[in-house]
Parts: sequence; structure tokens; C-alpha cells
Amino acid sequence: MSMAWVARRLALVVPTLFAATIVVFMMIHLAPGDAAQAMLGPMAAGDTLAKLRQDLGLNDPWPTQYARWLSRAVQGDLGRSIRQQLPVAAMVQEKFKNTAILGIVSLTVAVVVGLALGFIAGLNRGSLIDRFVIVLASSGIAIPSFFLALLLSYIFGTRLGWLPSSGMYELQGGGGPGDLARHLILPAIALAAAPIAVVARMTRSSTLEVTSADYVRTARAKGLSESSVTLGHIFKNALIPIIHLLGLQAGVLLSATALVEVVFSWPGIGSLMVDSILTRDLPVTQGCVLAIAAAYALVSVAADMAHAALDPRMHD
Amino acid sequence: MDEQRSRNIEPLSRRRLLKQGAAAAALAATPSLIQPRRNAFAAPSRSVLAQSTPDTLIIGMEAEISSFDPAIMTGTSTFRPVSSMFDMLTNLFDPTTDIKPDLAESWEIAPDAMSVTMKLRPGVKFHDGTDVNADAVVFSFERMLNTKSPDYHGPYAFPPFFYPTYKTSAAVDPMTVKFELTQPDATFFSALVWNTGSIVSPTAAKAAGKDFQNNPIGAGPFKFVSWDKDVKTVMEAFPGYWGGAPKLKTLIWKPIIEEAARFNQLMSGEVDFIVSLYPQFVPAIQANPNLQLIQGPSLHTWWCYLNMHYEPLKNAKVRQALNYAIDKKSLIDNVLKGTAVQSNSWSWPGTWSYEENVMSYDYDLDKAKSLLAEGGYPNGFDLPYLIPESGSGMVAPKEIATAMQADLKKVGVNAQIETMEWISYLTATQQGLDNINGKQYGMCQTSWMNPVADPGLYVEYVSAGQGDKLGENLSYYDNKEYIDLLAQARVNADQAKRAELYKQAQKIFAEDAPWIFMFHSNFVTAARKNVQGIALSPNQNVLHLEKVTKS
Repeated sequence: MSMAWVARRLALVVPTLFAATIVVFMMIHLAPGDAAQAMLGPMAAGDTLAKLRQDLGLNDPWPTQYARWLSRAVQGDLGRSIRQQLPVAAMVQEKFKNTAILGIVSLTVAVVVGLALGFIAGLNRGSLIDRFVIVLASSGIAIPSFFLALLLSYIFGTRLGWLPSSGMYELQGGGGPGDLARHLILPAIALAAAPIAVVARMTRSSTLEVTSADYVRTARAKGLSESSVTLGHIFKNALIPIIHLLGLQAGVLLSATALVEVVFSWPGIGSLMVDSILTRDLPVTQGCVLAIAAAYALVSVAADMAHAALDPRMHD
Repeated sequence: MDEQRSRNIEPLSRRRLLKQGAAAAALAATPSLIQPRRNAFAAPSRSVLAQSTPDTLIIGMEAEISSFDPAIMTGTSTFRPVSSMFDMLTNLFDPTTDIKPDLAESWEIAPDAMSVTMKLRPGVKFHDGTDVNADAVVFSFERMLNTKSPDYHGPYAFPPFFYPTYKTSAAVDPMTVKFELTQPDATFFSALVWNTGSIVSPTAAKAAGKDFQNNPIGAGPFKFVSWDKDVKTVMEAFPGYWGGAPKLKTLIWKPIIEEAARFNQLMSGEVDFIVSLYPQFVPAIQANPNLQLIQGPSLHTWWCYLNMHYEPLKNAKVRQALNYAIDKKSLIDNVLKGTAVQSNSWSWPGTWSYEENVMSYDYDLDKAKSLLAEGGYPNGFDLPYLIPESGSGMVAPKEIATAMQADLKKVGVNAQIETMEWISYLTATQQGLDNINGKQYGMCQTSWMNPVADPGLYVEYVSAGQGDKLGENLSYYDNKEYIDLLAQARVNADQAKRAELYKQAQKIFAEDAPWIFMFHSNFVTAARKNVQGIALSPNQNVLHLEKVTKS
């Protein structure tokens, strides 16, 4: 893993972002309606609508509008929201921070729980615990995150009253890390369920594969203790495909946040983006896409780097 | 709820009052007949969730506030919270549909309907201490309607739409303001009740310029404290409010977009009051001892456009048949859970322009069948029917459309429902139903929430436009006599004369049946039991929370 390789991977992030923003810009333009229509709602009489469109610059062809957006964006100016006339950069920055908190916590939960479950199941193939993990993993993948979110919110928030089911902090007098932690539990579980399942399954099969690999047999034959075989050989090598998987799961997680954030009123970038699409507030959508694409691209690079560092076969 | 219902809009028809009295009595009697053994919806007593303090009201709203600047803001979900911070010149106050003094004490519409002169309430101050006077009113309108004003920071969406005939305004004396219009328009005065006509502090707005929305100063009962986008808006009581200091200290407005989540948070006590309620949740609220349903009639109308260019619908008999075929009563009871009343017009029962003797399309299957036969379609026909999946004021569009589809099936009319996302739907229907992506639709649906009982604010827009000025006349309805009546009503300053003209127009419209007349939805809200003093006015765009208390 040379510096040149890292630089090359990072350089690829820029065209990725460019592609993401142009594709999204185009797609929103393909969808019927625009910000002027969204602002006026049913009150969009022909003249008023045409005038507002003209004033907002929405009549220009989309490449012109995109070029205008891009020329400002490269200078760090993401423009102002059409609907609320607030600076997009500030809106996105703040909401992204909240999504990052939720995302990182969920991913950590997914990795720790998923690895533990998968590894234990893999080492105890066919046992009761193995079957339990398989069932859990299948359900985790099968249940859509927004449904699980509603279910958790209803059971633990509404029905039992144990945990808050909306927002990041209490609306009155909240704000500490303990308050944040309480608000994180339900959305983090809803979000982590699918990646837990994927990671557990992958870890299980990877563990099974590694357990019967030649080098493990060799290690045992050398007379190494069972715990050192398990941790030093099996676990470490079983981890390699998981690292790669994590990069992908981070992406899945980012897309699922949009729905989970809406259910739990989590003030993140997912909520912001959904809202901006529904109101055709293009500068805001673009800002969100840019932030999400950048996060995803950087996580992928990081995953590749970790993969390269762990896998001896990738060393130069 | 019984009490709320009896304090309905006045004047209502006697028949409706009697009906409501009977309904209220039946409701009151129900719990004693059927005692629920175990209440599945009761909130747990051991809840550890934080509840708001007694001097704070947390309100769950269906969407985030679009802006705190009256010139920029759009949509009912924004109007409601912002109405707590800004007073308008006039407003509706519980329980009547009469226009009442707010910041204006009295007014006079010129006989030629070319101007409106208003005398302001003396001694009123904005939150920043600035006086509410004629200059402030002139400033508030000039800044959003006069594109040449140095204080104009547009483009704005709503102001030019709500005040198309505004020419200028001027202070006659320090406490008297005169609006001049570009053409005779009796509806301009009514349109002052749109929240867009909120009066802003000129001192604050001049200083803030384009960023007034971050520091909004009005003369309403609550003042702005902070806005944390997608999290909360905090307002605190304005002790100097002209109508007396509010009883609550703090209002917290919380956007909860998801319907079920909003309802769940009311049940768990995380919010005290929700202002948009899916009808399906009504029975659960009525069954819950910790909650109360608060509703009252409102100036809302929900209807279906029938495309009069669509071959089978060219015949009035066929359009009437469809009106008879829909069982509105059953729909109101079962789908809307009693939160609406049947509609026969674009005017509202019991209000000044409503024609009591308008043709009423009560459910009549036989009549529907025979009219269809007379119209040449004894075996029915296919009816492509476009609906939005959600949308402001649309209540429960998919559920309603499905119920209508089942009713139409009984007379052989095959309604083919197609669903679109809200903004796509608005864009698609904008140019009429004849050619939407190459397809002709026979029917679509919409609704309107008026701030005052003046149909002149919307009726021409939704039923009289022609050609490239079609507006929302999606039925392509074109009746010279009808259009003339509406035009005369708009320019006449005399309300009694206007009423006469609107009543005549309603009779013609009902007979021609370019719409399926459906219902007028109530203003439906729900609160925790410990919240008292919520008085809904028929203007759904406004909430009066200054008298609210919590025990």
C-alpha cells in the first residue's frame, strides 16, 4: 500500500462526486414539478407560477442551471435554499453532524454485535446458538428498517414508555451526553439491524471457511494453543472479507438513515434530503447529495486501505 | 368534544345543529353502554418519558415551518405556528365565521370596491416596542408587493397571488390606512385574513432586510425565541399583547412528518397537542382516557373535478349520475370517522353566500342508474382517475378514492385509479386533464382551505378560468351565465348583493355538476386531557393559543 496508491484512490473521489451531483440534478429535473410549483401548491395560477419560475431562474435549461450551481460550488458556495432562502452549506453541515453521530454509533453496534454473533456461530456450527444466529440474521435482513423503526417506536416509546422515540434531545432542559444516548438507542437499533445480520452471516461463513484452511491446520499441528489459533489465525483472517463488506454496509446505512430519521424525527441529513426532494428545493438536495457521496466515497477508500493493511496478499 | 361541537360556527342551519346535538348525545351515552374492559391505547403509568412543564405547550406539526417571514412563508402547516407571532388586520375568532377586528378596529370598503380604508387599534406595540400604526401597515404590504420598494427582497410566491389587485397603500392619518386597488375587487378585504397579510415591525424588518425570517417581530401573543430546523421552534409569551398576556409561558413547535409517529408521540405524552390528524386515528383518541379530540367546522372544501371534455362526461346527466352514485354519508362515517360534513357547493353551509336550496346529491343508486341510462351509458364506462398520494388538505386521498371506486362500480363505472406524488400531481394536472403524458383523464381530486367565508377568494380560480387562463378549472367548465355572475359578485362592494349572485351561481353549478361534490372537512386536532382552552376558529390557517392552560 504505497502513498501513490492512496493518492490515486483519493483522486477518484472527485469525479465520483461530480458524477453523483450531475446525476441527481438530472433526475430531479426529470421528476415533474419544480420549487415554484411546490411553493405555490394548488395556488399555482398560470401567471403567478410563470412569474415565480422566471424570478427564481427555473426556466433555464437544466445544464445551464447545473453549470451555475457548479461554478459556485467549486468556490465553496452551495447557494441558498429556494424555499427558505437560508444558506445551504450551514444547513447541510449541521444536519450531517447529527447523521454522523447516528451512523457511527449504528455501524459500531453492527460491527461489534455482528462479529461476535457470527464468530461464535461459526465456531459452533450446527449448535443451538448457531441456529439462533441464522434465524436472527435472516429476520434482520428481511425486516425493512422503517418498519422496524415504527415497531420499536411503538413498543418502547408509546406502549412501554421506556425510551424517547423522537428527536436527539429532550425539548425542554435536555442536552447532555446521557440525554443523547437515551435518544440514540431506538434509532441505532433500527438502523443497525440489517448490517448486524449481514455482518453476522458473512463472519459465520468466513469463519467456517478459515477454520478448515491449511494454515489453521498447520498452526494447530505446530502445537499452538487453541486460543491463539482462534484469535491469531481464525479471527484475524476471517476479518478480511468483513472489512470490505463494512465499506458497502456504511453505504447501505447511509441510505437507510433517510427513512429511520423520518420515523424518529432525527434531525439529520436524511430528513433534510427527503424534505428537499418533496419540495423540489434543488440547492438543498444537491448539498445533501454532495455530503453523502463524499462520506460514502471516503469510507470506501478507508475500507480499501484497511483491507490492504490486513491482507498479506495485498502487500507489495 | 361534545362541548366543542356545540360551540360550532354560527350561524349554522337548525337542521345541522339538531343533527350534531343528536350525535353528541349518542357519543356521550356510548361509554356507559359499552365499557371497554381493557384499553389497548392507554399510555403506561410507569412511563419515564419526559413530559413538558405546566407552563409549556408542545405542539406536533405535520411539516417543518417553511419560513417565519410572512412574505416568504407558504402552506397551512407554516401559517398555523407563525400565526401565534403575528397579528393581521382582521381575523376569525371562535366561534363565528364573521370577520372580526384584529389590529384594525373598523373598516370601510368603498362603494366602487376600488379601495379599503381601515382604522387601527390604538396603543398596540410590536414585540420590539415599535408602535403599530398606519406606517407599519403600509410598510408590511409595500415590502412584499411593491417590487420597486427598497425593502422588497423577493421574489415571493404568495403575496402576488393573494393580493393581485393591490395598487398601493398610504397613511391617511397616523392610525388610518387606505388600500388602493387596480380594479374593483370586493375580495381584497377578505384576503387580508390570509396569513400573508400579517403586519410586521418596520424597525425590525428594515434592520434585518433579507434575514427578517431569522429575527421575526410581529404583534402577536407570542414572540420568537429560537428555531432549530427539523427539531423545534420556541416562542415565549409576549406580556404586552393587546388582548392580554397569554396564560402559557412557552410554546414549542415540533415537526413530526410521519402520521403514525405524530399520533404515537401524543399518546406517549411527548407532545401535548397535534394539529393534523389522520381520520383513522380518531377512534383510538376517543377511546383513550388521556386524550381529547377537539374539532370544529372549517372553511375547507374537498371535491372531484369531472373532465367535461371526456366523452362520457360531456352529458350533464352522466355527471349528475356520478354525484348520486357516491355514498358520501357512509364515506364520512367510515373513512373520515365523522370529521366532515357533506358538501353541495363551493360555499360552506350556514355562511352568508350559501344557497340553502341548492341541489343536494344524496346517495341514490336507482337515480344514478337511470340517469346513466338516459345519458347513454346504461352499462357504465371506464373512468381514468388521477389522485395524489398525499397533500395539504387532501385528508386521506387514497382511502377516499378507493371508497369512491367501490361506489362507482355499483353503477358499472370502472374508475381506474392512478396515484402520483403530490408535486408531480399538481404539475401534471396544472394544464388540465386532457393530455397528461399523452393520456386523457376523466377525473381528479383536490381541496381548498379558505381563511374566511368568502368564496370569491377561490371560486373563479377553480371553476371559471378558460383557455390559457384556465387556472385550476380542471373540469373545463364553461358557462357564460355562471362566469358573469361570479364576475359581478367579485366587483360588488355590497355583501348582500354578492350573496344573491353567489347563490344564483351555486344553483347553476350544482345542476351542471362539473364536480363530484364531496365534503367539507372539520378542523381536526387532538390534545392530552390536561390541556384546556383550545378554541378552534373556522380558519384552519390560524391557532389561537393565548387562552390555553395546562393542569
